[in-house]
Order: sequence, then C-alpha cells, then structure tokens
Amino acid sequence: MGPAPQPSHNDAAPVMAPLVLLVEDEPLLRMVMADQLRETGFAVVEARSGDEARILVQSGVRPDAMISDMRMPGTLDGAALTRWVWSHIPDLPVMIVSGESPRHDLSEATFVGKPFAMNWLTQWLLQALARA
Amino acid sequence: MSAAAIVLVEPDVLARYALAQYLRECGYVVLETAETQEAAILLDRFGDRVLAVLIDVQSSGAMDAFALTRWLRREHPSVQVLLAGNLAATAERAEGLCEHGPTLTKPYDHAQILARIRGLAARRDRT
Repeated sequence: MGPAPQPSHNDAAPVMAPLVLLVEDEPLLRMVMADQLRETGFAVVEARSGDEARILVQSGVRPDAMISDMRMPGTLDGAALTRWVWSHIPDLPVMIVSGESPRHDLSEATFVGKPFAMNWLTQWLLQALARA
Repeated sequence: MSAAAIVLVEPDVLARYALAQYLRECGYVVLETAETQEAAILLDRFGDRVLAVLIDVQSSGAMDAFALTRWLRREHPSVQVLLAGNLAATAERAEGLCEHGPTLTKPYDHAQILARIRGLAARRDRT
C-alpha cells in the first residue's frame, strides 16, 4: 500500500492508526468493543464470524492485531481462525476471548475470559503492538 | 478473492449494520466505519480492492464527508463515491464532487444502493 496520506490545508490528514481485526458474532458486544477501540485510537475492521474474517484477510485486509471470540457460527471457530490467520500473517498478535483454558496449540495467543475489562484489552493491544 | 469491497461510512450503527448485512448477502466484502478518519485509513490500506465508498454526509471525524470525498478523488481516483443524506444543502455541496448522479437519500433503500453499486461495477469493468 502507498504511504500515509499527507496533510493539506483543506482536508485534515488521516493518521495511520493501528488496525485491529475484531471478530465477534454478538453484535452489541462487538459494537461496544469496536467503539472502545476507536475511542482509544485504533482503526477497527469488524467481522461477524471466522468465515467473514477469513474473507476480509483474503481480500487484502492486513491487520496489526486480531481479537476474536472463540465460539462463533460457521466453519471457523476462534482457534481455527487463528491458525489460518497465522499461516497468512505470521506473528500477528492474537487475543482470543473464551471461557476455555488456553490451548497448548495456540500458545502464542493471549486468552481472556468473559466478562473482561475493556481497559485490559486496550492495554494488551498497546503492549502487543509495542513488541511487534 | 474476487469479491469487490464496499466501505460504509455511517455513524448510525443500526442503519450501517442493516445495509452491511444486505450487501454481504449480495456477495460484497463490506468494511464498516463510523467516521471519516478510519475510512481514510481503510482506503489507504487496501484502496485498490475497494469498488465504492458510501459516505453519510453527516459523518464526522478529522474530515467532514465532503473533505473525505475530495481526499478520495485525489488519493484514490479509481474508487467510486456515493454520498448519502437528507441535508438541504447536500445536493448543492455534492455537485462537482459526485460524478455519478444524485445523492442517496435516507433511510437507505437497500435495493437502490445495490443497483447503484452494480452500475458502478459495470462502469469500472468497461474501462
């Protein structure tokens, strides 16, 4: 992709905020999470399922981090989506929202149970992106 | 992946949700955002894959809807812009910005928007 848009005296410059792929099938929770992330300064691409997230990545979306629910309708749950995403975007920071114990085969992902504090989520993102 | 992408810039989350779902069911990849700066970020990341951007004229952010339209014309000239809204001055302000007919009115007529998008896709494919 090209460089970040440059400022002009007429049109304010878009700042290249980190892009978060948010995958959550529950619409109200997704809206709350997306709004919180945007207010914190992230750009958000929303997907309602693992299958939709896969389509977005196949379409060229290259997030800086992904936050995904574990249990979702469709062919890809959070674990399967994470494995698929890592095969295309290695080392992508991933947080999986799940009531289950962390999976040994996804040891590089961060697991968090519901309910969770939104502040914790944004803190994780900032730390993950700082390490990336 | 061959599906064209549509970016919706719509602060009304319920209107955005319904339209996004409709367009997805019609086979498009839909990227949603509530404000203009995030839209510009999305376009800068994968503008080449975006067929059209639908912008509510009341969208806010670092740019207003018309400034975003000017920015798109300048930075992503292949991306089509659809302005939507009911403000009295919208059509007048949109004149000279929107090359493809009148602005869309709200509440959204999903079938009308789909027809406009398909028309834009056909126009792009011919060029």
